[in-house]
Order: sequence, then structure tokens, then C-alpha cells
Amino acid sequence: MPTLQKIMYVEDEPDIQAVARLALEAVGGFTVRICSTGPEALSVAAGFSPDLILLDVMMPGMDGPSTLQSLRAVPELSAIPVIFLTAKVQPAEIAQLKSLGALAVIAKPFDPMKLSDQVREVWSRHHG
Amino acid sequence: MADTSSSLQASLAALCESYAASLPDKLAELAALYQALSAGSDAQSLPRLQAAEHKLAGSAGTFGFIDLGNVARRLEHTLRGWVAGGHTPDSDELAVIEPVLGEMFRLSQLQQAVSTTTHHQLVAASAEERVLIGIVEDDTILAHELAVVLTSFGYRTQTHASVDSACSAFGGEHPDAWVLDLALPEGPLAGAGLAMILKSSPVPPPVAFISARNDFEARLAAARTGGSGYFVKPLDQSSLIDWLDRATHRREQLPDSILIVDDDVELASFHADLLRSAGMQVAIVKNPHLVMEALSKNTPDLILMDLHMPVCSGLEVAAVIRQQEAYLGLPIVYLSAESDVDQQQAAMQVGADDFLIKPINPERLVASVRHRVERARRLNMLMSTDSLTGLLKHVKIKEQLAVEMTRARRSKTSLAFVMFDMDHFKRVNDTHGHLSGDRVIKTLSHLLKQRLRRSDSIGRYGGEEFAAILPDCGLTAAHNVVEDIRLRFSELRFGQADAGFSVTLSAGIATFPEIDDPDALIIAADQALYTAKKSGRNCVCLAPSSSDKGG
Repeated sequence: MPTLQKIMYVEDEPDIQAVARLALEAVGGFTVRICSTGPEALSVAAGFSPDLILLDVMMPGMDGPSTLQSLRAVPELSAIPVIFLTAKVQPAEIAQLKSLGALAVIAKPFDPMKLSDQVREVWSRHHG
Repeated sequence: MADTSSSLQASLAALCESYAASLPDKLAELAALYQALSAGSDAQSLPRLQAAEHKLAGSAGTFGFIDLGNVARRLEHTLRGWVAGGHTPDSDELAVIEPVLGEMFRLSQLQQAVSTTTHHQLVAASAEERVLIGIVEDDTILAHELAVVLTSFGYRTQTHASVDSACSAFGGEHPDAWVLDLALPEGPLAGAGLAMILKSSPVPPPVAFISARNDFEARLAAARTGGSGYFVKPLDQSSLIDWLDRATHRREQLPDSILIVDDDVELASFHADLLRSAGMQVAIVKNPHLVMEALSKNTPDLILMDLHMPVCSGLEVAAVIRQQEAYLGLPIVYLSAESDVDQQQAAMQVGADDFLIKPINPERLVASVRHRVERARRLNMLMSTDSLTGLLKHVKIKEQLAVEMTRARRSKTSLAFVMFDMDHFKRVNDTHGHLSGDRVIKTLSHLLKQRLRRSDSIGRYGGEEFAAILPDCGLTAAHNVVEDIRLRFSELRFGQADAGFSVTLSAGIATFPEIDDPDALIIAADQALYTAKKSGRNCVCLAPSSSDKGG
């Protein structure tokens, strides 16, 4: 299984950005890059070359699904696995999000003490 | 280490504190949006309010405001319905929001310690279906029984003994469906009154009644409230579960998946965008030669094909597809500039289902495709499923295993095949009659559907034998889930309370890639099942992996 070290988190809300950084860096021991918008993620992704991208679904302007679509359109970014985070947890919506090519959908609110474990679980399930 | 952990706790506490400090501003913004919405001054205030509630629903819980987040989520759900439906709420509907906002102010004072949050965050396939059912029943024994049965079928329950207690819980999480006793402490038809209240909410939940009465008057009172289920006591639990499954859409379909075959890439992408915007999944094949490959990767619900392509005609491609039995039921719809009736006739003859003339109006394209898919799904379901249980027939499950194994091989994932067999089932039929036997079979099929993921395939293999394919599932995970099913099934009681009985099952599991051939996998699972039977039944056995078998 490839190691999971670098995670990019795309999220517009400053509160969540801060707690996610804590949850992934301090609790999870990952190297984390936070982006506030889809376009920022697109411009940063190639340089940071994350192992995994966490994408908030509902963002103003470019939302999570369109960010994913744009990432997929860039050859060197197209293979980076993506997990969606969303407060929408209706089964149909989850199926729809997964059908876009995400590894998993993690429900918000997340527990900062457990987020890293959840991410690792998805990662190892994906590579298991 | 203690240092790191305590500094971590400190940073977390600081973040929570700063979030708490920002809440009054956030709530003030909600109040302002609500004011604007009530004044009707700004058309954007409704979507803005929805977006703000959505944010709160997603963040509050992380910082210890779990109840606040839940209320925000519920309100967002209502608002989303209005936004999606283009609905302009009237003053009565708006009046409902005000107390909710008041409740949110109150809840914003109640921060809980973050490390104690225990709710289920990872939306795994099995957890996403944990639908909440509200039960209102004053007979505490029956209420408890119902709660136990529903829980074993994967539902969560919320129980109340009266209309009053049910109403006082409205501030909390909203059940996805309700089961009401028609007669409650408030009166002989009080359940119908409660249903009326429930049905008046912006998103009316499905309601079923249970009642000792089977007379027209009682049924009419129930029907008038819009309650769509009516079950006479003593309850047939299986029918009630059936109803709940349908009402709560647990058998929801995956999005329609469409394959477009067209050499004109631009036009294909245009059609693909139209269908995608209607929520469908679309793949495009430009070269007709690659159709078979695309089909083997992912069988679509429908093929949308251009009639005239340079390499070969759409008719020829359809003929090739129809040569294969597995794709006989796959709808093929042609798109063509051809308005010639003879050409259309020729197309129909080789198994086309519909003929759409280009340029087609976008709505008509989406509608035609959707209707075709719906009909094909219904027909395929009838052809391939067992009438008693709705599960796949023997032949289909074998076909499906071959498909899933190919997929697992390509994606380098594991796969588990499970055989279930009820223990001493003959005795059930002999002692309690065939009707009871059928009910036991239906019950197990329900249990399998609910404990397994939607991506798993489940079949009725023989009389009391069932089989399941669990893609992307290793030996340990498969064992855990099957063991859980065995245990839950053994805990179910059938028949009347005094003459009740229970049934157990045995199961055998074999996994890919340990065994790398569909037939061998079935044999191995069957042998494991045999071992389980021999070692005393009511247990789960694993097949030895092929490498253990030696030369």
C-alpha cells in the first residue's frame, strides 16, 4: 500500500480549516495544505502533489464536484484520489457523489479526534 | 507524549472557544436573512439562508454544538425543498422557521466537550441506510417488540406512548417515517390526528397505521390523513418492514447509467451534458469497435447510439450487442437525422427500442431516456428475480459472480462469495406450515438486503439456500458481517408470541483472489457451508484458501 503523507484539504470555511489542520497535522501526523477555493486547489495541486485530496462539496463559486471534474481534466492530477466531505447525508446524494469518482464521502460534522482515522480507513480500504 | 496530547487538547479547546465566540454573529446573520425572506425584499435570501444553515449543519457538531448542528440540518432540509422546488413560502410556512431560529439561539449556549462526540461519521455503505422510524404506540410491550424488530432490520427507532409525547419531540431529529397506533391515549382515532399534524410539515413523512380494527370507518379515517400503510394486529412484521423499505426508499436505485455511442464527439458530449445535468451517469464511446469493451467494464442501463457512423452502422452494432444473451434486455435508442420510416423499421427489427430524430429537444431526450430506463429496469427485475423474495435467481447470481470477479480482477480488489442455508428448515414447514415457512424465507431475504451493502448482490439459490456476492470485501470483513447476520437472524422470533419459534442458519464463505475461478469459488463456499453444517450448524465457516489445498 502506498503511504499516505500529503493531504490537500479544500474548504471555504475558516473555522473548519483550522480544526481540520489540527485534526490532520497534530492528530494524524500528515503534511497538510489547506486551500480555500477550487481554483486555488487547482493552481496549488501540481506543486504540492498530494497523495489524497479532501474536498468540501458545497463551496461558493466552484463547488466540490466541479473542482473534482477540473482536477480530473489535468493529466498529472487526474489520478489523485479524492474524498468528499459534506453535511448532506441522504443516501441518494452519497451515491451521486461517489458516482463522480470519489473514494468515499465523509459526513460533516466530523470529529476532529477521529478524522485522520477515518481518512486512513478509506485509504487502506482503497488500497487493501 | 503527554505534552503533545495536552497541547493538542489545548489547541482544540481554543478553536472550539473561538467558534463559540463567533456563533452570535453567525446566528445574527441567519436572523437577518430570515427578516429579508419574510419581507420578501430579496429573492436571494432563501438560497442564502439555506447555504448558511448548511454550513452550520456541517460545522457546529465538530466544535461541540451537536444539537445546534442537527436543528440546522433539519431546517436546511426544509429550505432545500423550497429552493429546489422553486417554492415561495407563504407567511404560515415562514412562521414555522421563527421558533426554530429561537431554538438555535438557545442551543448555541450549549457546547459539549468535543472528545465525547460519538456519532457515526464515516458514511459507510451500511451506515448510510440507518433510517430513523418514529413509533407511537401506548402498548409498551408491542412498542418494544417493534423497536427490536426494526433495529434488527437496520432501522433506528424513536418510541412514544402518546400524541403528546410525540409532538413534544418535534424539536429533535425528524424520523424518516412513522408507525402510529390508530388508537392512542388521547382517543380511539388519535393516531389519525397525529398523522394529520405530521403530514402538514413541509416535507411530509410517510405514515403507516397499526390497528386492532379492520372496519371501513377506521380504514377511512386512516386513509383520509394520507397514511399509506394500514396493518391490522396481530402484526405481520414482514409486511410492515416491506412497507417501510418502500416508503423510505431504502431500495433506492443508483443513478441511471447511459452509454453514448457516437463518432461525433461534440454532439456526444452535448448529449452527455444534458443527461448528466438530469443526474445520470454517462460514458461516451467514439469508436463502435470499443462498444463491447465498454459494456464489459460497466453495463449501462441504456445505450444511446448514432445510426450513421463511418466504420459500421448503428444497426450492425446493435446486432452485435444482441448476439449476447446477457445484453438482450439492454435498451438501445437511436439518434439520427433520419426521418425515413423504412430505416426506422429496419432499426427496430434488429432490436432497437426507440428512435429519436436529431436535433432533439433537450427535455424530450432526458424524458425518453428516463422512461426507457425505468421500464427496462422493471422488466429486468421481473425476469431476473425470485417472486417470493425479490432476490436474484440462481442463474442470475452465477452470471453476476462472473461479472463481479472480472471487475475485482481488473481493479485488483478482493471479493467474497457467501452461501447461506437455514438449519432444519423442513421442520419449520412441517410444524408450522408452508405459509410460516415462506414468511421465514422472506424475513431472511429482508435481513440480507438490509445488512449487506447496496453494491452487494444477493440471490435465492435454492429453497432455503441463499447466496451473496460481496465485492471489495476480504475474508475478515466478510466473516464479521455474515456472523452478524447469523446472530441477528437467530434472535428473530416468528409466529405468535405464545407459539413463537426461531430459526438458525449456517453459512460458508470463500474469497477471491485466494480462489481465482467463479465455479471453484462457488464450490469452495458450498464446501465451507457443508463444514458448518457438520460442525453443529448455526455457525459460519471459511473455505480454506486454494493455496492451502496443496498441489
